[in-house]
Amino acid sequence: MELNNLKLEFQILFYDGISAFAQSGTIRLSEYDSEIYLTESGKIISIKNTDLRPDENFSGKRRIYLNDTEYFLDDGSVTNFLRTLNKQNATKIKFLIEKVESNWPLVVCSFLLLVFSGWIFINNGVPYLSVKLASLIPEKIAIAMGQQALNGLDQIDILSPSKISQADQLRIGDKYRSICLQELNSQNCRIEFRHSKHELLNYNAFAVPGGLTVLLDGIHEIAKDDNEIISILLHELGHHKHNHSLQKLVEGSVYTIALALALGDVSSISSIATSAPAAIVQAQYSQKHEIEADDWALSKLQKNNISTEHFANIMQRLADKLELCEQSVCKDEEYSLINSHPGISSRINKARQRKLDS
Amino acid sequence: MFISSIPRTAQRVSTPEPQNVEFTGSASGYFRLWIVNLLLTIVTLGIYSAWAKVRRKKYLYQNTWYAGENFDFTGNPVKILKGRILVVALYVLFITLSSLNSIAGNLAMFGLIIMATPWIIIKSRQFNLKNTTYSGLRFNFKADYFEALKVTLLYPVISAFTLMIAKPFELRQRGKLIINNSSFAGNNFHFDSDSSKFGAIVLKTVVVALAPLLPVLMMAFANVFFRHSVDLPRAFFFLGMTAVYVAFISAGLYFFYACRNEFINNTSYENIRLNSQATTTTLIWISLTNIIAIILSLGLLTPWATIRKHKYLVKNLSSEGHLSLESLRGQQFSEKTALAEETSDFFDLDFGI
Repeated sequence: MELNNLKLEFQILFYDGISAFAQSGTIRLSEYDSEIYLTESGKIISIKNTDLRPDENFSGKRRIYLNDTEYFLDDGSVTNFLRTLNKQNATKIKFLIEKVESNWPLVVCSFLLLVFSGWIFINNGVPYLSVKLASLIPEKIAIAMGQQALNGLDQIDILSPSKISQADQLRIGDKYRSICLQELNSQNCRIEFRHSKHELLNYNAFAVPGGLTVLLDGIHEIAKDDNEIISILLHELGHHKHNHSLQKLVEGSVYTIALALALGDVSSISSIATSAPAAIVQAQYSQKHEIEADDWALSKLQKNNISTEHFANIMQRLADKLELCEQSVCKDEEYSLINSHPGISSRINKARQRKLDS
Repeated sequence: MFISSIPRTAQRVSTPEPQNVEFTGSASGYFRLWIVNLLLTIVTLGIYSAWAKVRRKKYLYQNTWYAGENFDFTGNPVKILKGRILVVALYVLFITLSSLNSIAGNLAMFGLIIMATPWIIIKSRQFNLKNTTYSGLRFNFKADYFEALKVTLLYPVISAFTLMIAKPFELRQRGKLIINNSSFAGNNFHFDSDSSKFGAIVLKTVVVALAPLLPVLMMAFANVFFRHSVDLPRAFFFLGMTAVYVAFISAGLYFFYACRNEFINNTSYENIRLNSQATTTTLIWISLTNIIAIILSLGLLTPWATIRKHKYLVKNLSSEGHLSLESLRGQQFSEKTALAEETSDFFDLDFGI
């Protein structure tokens, strides 16, 4: 078929963007250029085929734009002609997407792919992005963020000043800083001592951004010796080592942005439904963080010739104190899907296992 | 190969009898579009979201018909994408700055946000209207910054300090700001309404919100005055809490849609008046059941819910009066690329005011 000799003519309705009236006319297509002849005004518009932009078509008649305002309606004939000619990638992709959308089996495949890629994104994409983005945050800002988080907890009475003696605080602080210098090669490690009226929080320690570890009185009270406290502090240093607290902050933002972009037309109330799976996944990440911090702490204990049994012992005492376990079944393991920490007995077992291995 | 099936439709627009707006889209069509949109958005790590938005809006607009012609959305995905990158960057900056907790910094940021709000609202409405066409002609929105500042900051503060007594006045001014500054084919829309009608809306909203508290108040009353203590099982407490939540959400929905009806029913364009027959009770029902459907389907019924609500709103829109299409003249293509209007391309934020 010689396109040069092929002249195709179709009737069209033309809109000039100035008048609300549609003008009837004819389009004459040839290989490179086309001519539009408007019946009433007798006007002739010449245009290159590559300048014709077929629009999305959801209403039966496709708009084909000449520029930002002028277009004509096509019932498919011109579109078919352009489909065979058009070399522009954008138009090709548009037609391909239309093809997928209009075909139910392909939509079902898209849905399965969506579930799969969504799973990959949440499981691998978000943690990867969070690690990368967290490492971009300057240390100075991280320190300020950590200090602010602690100030916030102090102000709303969740934390109060520690009752540990000054001498003990100094001794533990010195040990913490020397381990930090030795293992993380960082001068920025700081430790703060606090008390909390909330029992679950008081028998705890946490790592906030910028190398700051907060040790609560409960740990000091329950610890039999300094090695046990050191094993807890090493766990927190493990979080610092892997930059976990910043990653968690970044993860929240990555989620917010990803959800907003993906579900543009979901109202804020109904987005609760979509945030529930995200919360479960986040709990999974933080389990992963805890395991990483535990592993790091146990290996450093061994390296410094401190028995991992100390970690197992203090964890066991914490579990007893908080009544987490009854007859060898631990409460926190019943809901391991939604818990932020791995089951305590599995952590204790791991520490004991390490001891046997060494 | 001549087409004879394309009707000449435009002449039908000028008609004196009421004209209904129609919607020809379907939940299944929108669902297919939505699934493919989501997949491509995730696979491209969010980049496709700008194209997804344009396709979504085009589906809704192109399936909305009035007097034989349909609407269209003409937003440019590349510009929307640039705008989104800017918004994400600002969000990250905002989070970082606010976590530093310097009082001066936070105050400056707070001030900046307040001062920028009217501008953002103007620009986002401009973005939405400028990219809406009907029969090839464009809508537009142009508003004065200080006029918008009064509506977004000054009047709400006055309403709050007068315990909502000034709220009807605020709503009327809000309607004037949004509607009187909107135009189609160069002609402005016109809105005015009694403040008293908004007064009735505010009053009803308060009644709906507080309705479930009535039994509680009665019980308290019984306790205090008759020394008769009413003990109820825990299930009643749970039911009561649910009722309070539903009432609050319903009150919010009632307020939103009652205002919307009031705005539309008092709007005219040239010789035609707009009319919304959508009832607030049906809209509350649709919205509440939509939320439940979306939650129970883990989001999968979102497209169905969107179409359901859109269809109801659109089908209950109509116009009365005679519109002469000859008088409508769109703007020349080359005139409208002023820099000030171009900035609105970044504001695909769908800010409601």
